[in-house]
Amino acid sequence: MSCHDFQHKLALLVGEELEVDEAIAARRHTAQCPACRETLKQLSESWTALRAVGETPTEVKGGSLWPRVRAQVFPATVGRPQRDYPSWMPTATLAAACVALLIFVGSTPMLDNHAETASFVDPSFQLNLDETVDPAMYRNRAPVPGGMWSLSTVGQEHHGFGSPPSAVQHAGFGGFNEL
Amino acid sequence: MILMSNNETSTAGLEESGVTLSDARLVEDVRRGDHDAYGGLVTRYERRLIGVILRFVHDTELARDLAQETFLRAFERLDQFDPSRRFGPWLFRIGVNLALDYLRRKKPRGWTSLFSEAGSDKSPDPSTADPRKEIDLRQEVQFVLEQIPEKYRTVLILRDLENFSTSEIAAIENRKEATIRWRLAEARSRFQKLWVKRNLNPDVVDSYLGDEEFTDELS
Repeated sequence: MSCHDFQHKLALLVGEELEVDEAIAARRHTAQCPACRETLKQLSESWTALRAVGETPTEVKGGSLWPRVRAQVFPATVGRPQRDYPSWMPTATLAAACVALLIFVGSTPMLDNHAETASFVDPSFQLNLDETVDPAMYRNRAPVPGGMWSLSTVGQEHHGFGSPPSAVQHAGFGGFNEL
Repeated sequence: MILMSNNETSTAGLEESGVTLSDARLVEDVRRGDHDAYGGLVTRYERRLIGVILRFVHDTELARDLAQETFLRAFERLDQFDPSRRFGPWLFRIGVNLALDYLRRKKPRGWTSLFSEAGSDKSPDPSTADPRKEIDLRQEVQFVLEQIPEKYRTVLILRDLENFSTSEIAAIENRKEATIRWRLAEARSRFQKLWVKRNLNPDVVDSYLGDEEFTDELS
């Protein structure tokens, strides 16, 4: 191997980047060749200067780049408070509220069906209406405003939910008047 | 010098329940929309990245700006990142290319501005015996490095100033390791020839070399 061939080997020898057998061969050659020995000396000097600069710490001033990067990459999230609950929590809460509302509404008597509800709550309610009230008692009297509800509750306590509905609410429920 | 070995680079930083999250896990989390995971990658690599870019541009604020741009570009291209590869070299490739692009666009400057910027990177430390020697040596090394072609200078900076291994440089440069070793040898040879000819205050280097002869160590 010629001196020219050793040039690159010597450049890697100073950084200890040669394989063992290559390093041994390079050292043997430089021991016998004054020119290559001089080249190796100069390489070691320049490399040492490089390493000296490399070992001098570079001062990285300033804080983290993350706030600036975040502001550019995720602009919508900047200034928004950090969430401390899972992302699915709002949807689940809304769904649970809807289910609870449906259950409550389903268990509440509908005003238009209050008679059925009243009989459900107190089965004797409809029975009293049919058995104890004689429509003949009212045949010669003026129609009672409020229709069936007012008729059925004459002289009785109200057994349904809440206050008795108004006559307006039962305007279409006039079948009883035909009795 | 901000040195961090390969192992440190891949494990330092974010931890969850005492377990360090890997780069690959963080990248996966970012792709799933976890913004904070990208913050973990930024804080893990930012100081090292700024330090490397600083070796090229010699201006701290500029290095910070380029590092920030690097993280933005990396995020934009995250879908192109191969998760089977390492994130660090991929990130540094973007950063080094940005720094080189900046230097190519920049007009050649005179030595005055070059040296004044280099000097501003590190103010003299009173505890040092003679801080001027350190600054002078850095300026001289920088002066010589500027005369070396870019592809050799890059390898020299990454290997001898920033202490990356040749395999890491191969990953950063996206070249075969044999190519990087050849470039490194060529770069050191070119630097050595220019260093001998520089004829600028040779006493500075001698003060660092001392009485120790490198050739004696090898023989």
